[in-house]
Amino acid sequence: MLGLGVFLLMALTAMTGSWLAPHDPLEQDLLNSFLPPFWVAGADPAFLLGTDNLGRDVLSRLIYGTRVALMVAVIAATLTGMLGTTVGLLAGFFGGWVDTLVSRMVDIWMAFPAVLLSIVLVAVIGAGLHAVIIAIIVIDWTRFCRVVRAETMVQCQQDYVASAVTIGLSRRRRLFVEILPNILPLLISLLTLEMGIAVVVEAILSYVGLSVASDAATWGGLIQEGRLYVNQAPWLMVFPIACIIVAVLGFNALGDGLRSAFDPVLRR
Amino acid sequence: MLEVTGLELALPDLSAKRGFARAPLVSILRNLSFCVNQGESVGVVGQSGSGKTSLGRTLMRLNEPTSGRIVFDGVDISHLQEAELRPLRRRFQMIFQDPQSSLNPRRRIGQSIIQPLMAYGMLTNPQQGWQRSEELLERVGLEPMLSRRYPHELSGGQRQRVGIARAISLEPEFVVADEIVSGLDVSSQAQILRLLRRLQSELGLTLVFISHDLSVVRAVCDRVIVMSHGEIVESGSCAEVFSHANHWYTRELISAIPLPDVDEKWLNDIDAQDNKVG
Repeated sequence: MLGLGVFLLMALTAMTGSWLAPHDPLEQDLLNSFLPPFWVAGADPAFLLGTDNLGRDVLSRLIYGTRVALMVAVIAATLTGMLGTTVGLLAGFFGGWVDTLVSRMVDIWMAFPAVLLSIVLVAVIGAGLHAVIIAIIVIDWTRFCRVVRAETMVQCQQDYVASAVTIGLSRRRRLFVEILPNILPLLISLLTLEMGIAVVVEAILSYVGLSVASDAATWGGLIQEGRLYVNQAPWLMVFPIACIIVAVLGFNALGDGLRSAFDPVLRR
Repeated sequence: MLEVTGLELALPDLSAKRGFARAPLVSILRNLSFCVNQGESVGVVGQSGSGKTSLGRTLMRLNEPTSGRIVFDGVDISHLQEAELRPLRRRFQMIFQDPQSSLNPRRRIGQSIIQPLMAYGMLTNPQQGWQRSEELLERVGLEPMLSRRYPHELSGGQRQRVGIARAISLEPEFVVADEIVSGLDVSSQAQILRLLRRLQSELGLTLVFISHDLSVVRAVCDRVIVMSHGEIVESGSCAEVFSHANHWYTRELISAIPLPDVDEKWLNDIDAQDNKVG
């Protein structure tokens, strides 16, 4: 429930952002720089969460950042999940040399430091939202692959798969009609977990200035800008960090909630 | 109906696999030959690890035999490809040992029961499907309304009946029942065995009944095959084997029955009592 609430709030904020935000996130107002949030003396009620060094409204920038974060979370996690699951299913189901090949590839993949690899990737592809998404897919498919492969192997040992053979189901039907529905609950957990990870990775990449164009508002970018003024205006860093924490917690709770709502085995 | 000659099965032993070398083969079944006649029920007994289940699964062609022949109704099925086997598969079915794992946990009971019929295109209309699944549930002595439940909502005995319903849905001629009562309490065991016998006479099933429990085999089967370490050590009619076993291993198995003096017709007695009450 909590997870769904956070997710819907994020989705709503992302969709109605331009209407919801009290100011243009890029509008500078140098006379009103470093205004504190509303509960501190000297705040301007027009800038609820204060302003940054250039007098830009923090709340508006956070709202615009939500759109980037959510887009990366949903698109990157879904595509990562699709790639990793497909490869993992095939490796677990067919075993033999397919499995050996995939497993060794995953091992090699995971030996690279993830952050470094993503920075290199983004540097090669060129900064931008699509580059962030591609980087997440290329790095994190192994996370899905390993877990799905192991679970597929477990399911293959179950008698219901043998039973599907005795009624003449083809390999494809066995894999997609019998086994896939049984790893779906696991996939939902992984997917929402990956959404949280994607938000963090996007924040890291925009922190180092490799995400969307540097003047656009992203949570990671806000943290990076706020870092310079952390002593005079700590709220510049605190709010985006809080956003990230809430989003990641929300995604994880969403996974648990979806599982118990849709899995007939858990729903007792 | 079924003729097995010189059947051998060897599977790779992955625990002994070293590096990139091919895993060494472990011989599971050694030179098995026997036949099962139409309408007969044959018991396969032996301690765990003797290869009973592997034999059952090989007869179902879940494993491909290493050598030897399995001839089902005049067709050699020992090395047929999956596509060639498909039309034959509806004629031989298996009831699995553990109904917990033999039913897809995320599919409703009714859907599991009619899935074989759907797979062979004998049912297309979903409405008809629910009706058919309810008929089959009644046939194995379960409430029709269970068809909308999931496997974990049923008891072990109920799940095993569902496993039987699924196996007979295609109206097969030959059924392998692999330790189907070993996980159940004694009264459910008796009920399942009576159900199996009733279905056997109603449908004219040919049955291979795998069990480690000789008293169960004696109650259900006409003939018995005794296995040890993947080999047949003794075979013959139930009466013969039980009265004077030739092989020491068989005698040991018989003496291991907790109540060796139980009347071999115990299941009939229960039937007779029930009829009186009913």
